[in-house]
Amino acid sequence: MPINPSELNIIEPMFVYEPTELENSNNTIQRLIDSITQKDGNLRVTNFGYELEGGFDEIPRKYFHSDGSVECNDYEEPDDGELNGYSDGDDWIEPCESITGSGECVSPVFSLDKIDKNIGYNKTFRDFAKKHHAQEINSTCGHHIHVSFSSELAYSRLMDSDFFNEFEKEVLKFVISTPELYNDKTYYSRFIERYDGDNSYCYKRHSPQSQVNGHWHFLDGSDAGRYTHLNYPYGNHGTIECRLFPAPEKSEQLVIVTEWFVNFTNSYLHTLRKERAKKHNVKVIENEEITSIEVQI
Amino acid sequence: MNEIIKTDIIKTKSNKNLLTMQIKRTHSGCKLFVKSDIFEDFFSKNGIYQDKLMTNSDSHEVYKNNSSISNREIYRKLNALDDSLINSDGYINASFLRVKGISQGVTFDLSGLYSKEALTSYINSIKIMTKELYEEFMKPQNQSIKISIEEG
Repeated sequence: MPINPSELNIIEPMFVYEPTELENSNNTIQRLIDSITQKDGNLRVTNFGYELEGGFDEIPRKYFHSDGSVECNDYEEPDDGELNGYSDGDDWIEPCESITGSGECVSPVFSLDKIDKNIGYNKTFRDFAKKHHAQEINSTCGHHIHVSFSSELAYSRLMDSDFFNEFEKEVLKFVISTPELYNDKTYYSRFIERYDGDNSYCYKRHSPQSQVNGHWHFLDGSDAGRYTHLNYPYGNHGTIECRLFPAPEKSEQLVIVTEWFVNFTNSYLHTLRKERAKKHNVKVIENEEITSIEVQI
Repeated sequence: MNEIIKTDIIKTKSNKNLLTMQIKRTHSGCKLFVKSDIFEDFFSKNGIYQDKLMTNSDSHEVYKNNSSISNREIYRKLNALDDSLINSDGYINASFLRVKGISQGVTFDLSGLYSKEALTSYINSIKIMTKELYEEFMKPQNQSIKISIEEG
């Protein structure tokens, strides 16, 4: 059921991306640069990238991966020979330079340390997203964002349920308060399906401890694998993967969403440092047999 | 920058420290501090060998496990020397209780990444486990022996 924005208690969106404002306002540019490059306590996002599922007219082979979960009307999954080359008698046929077909575009890794201050964000990322967008998108297609961090401590903090809860709350506010996403009814309905956990590739569950070592089953024995809003493939990629967003029809939407997730994650790490200044809570638990003194932060 | 997740001092009924544990997350990974006279005393009677123990690089001298508890579930957890703190099945590693020197206090560099919830749950499990072990196998027993002499 669609959500009425007026029913939500939107206090203050963390950051609403507006390209015209971004390009014209030095203050906004500086604020964004400060946010994504802040080095407080060295807890920050260092790199990001994304995967976009869909059908592609032409995409360089090095950015293309097969994906059997993508079902397109006008594009078929490329065969192995196209992707990896094949032997034709005595001759070796090299793989195609570019691919036409269904699958996923896997972006390069973009570094947040390489900011173009004249534009305010990573120009390379935006150019890439525009150039290699899919031509066919449907409900089987997802947009997965990967972020990596300055330290294991940053990664660990994002495994906490506090982060997941904050993410679930803020992502809904973000989509509803962003006209480019909310006013696109197809995009919005696909997002809500995923947000509600009604998509089998994107369950609304949080199980970082079982995912972090590459074991894709939950501690309660059920098996949703990596198919959760947030996935923690530390053992495989060293990243946190957001799988919640549907593939967008427009590259501009992909840019907005990707930048929001990077910025949200960075802002969360930044906020944690401030909260740690609070006094410690001390509680004493007495037990008939053994007394236990607990100090918890 | 360190983040202390939990500190626990478990005391016996007679107000003796059974086990002190502190777990924290740092930039260089997770660290577990352990101190216990009682557990070192319990395991030190069994002989010693060198082993690598749930840490990034350090080797520790480890006492052999105590065969008197071999029919208990904790025996396996005390033997999980090569496992991570919490394995993929949620099974916990308690083998640090067998490390030589815990009466003085030992800090372990743990391999792996852990959420706050997983670490809190880990310490709570250790607390229950060590309490049961103490009550059943380590607690000084007060026994009264009645001797009667029958004169014939």
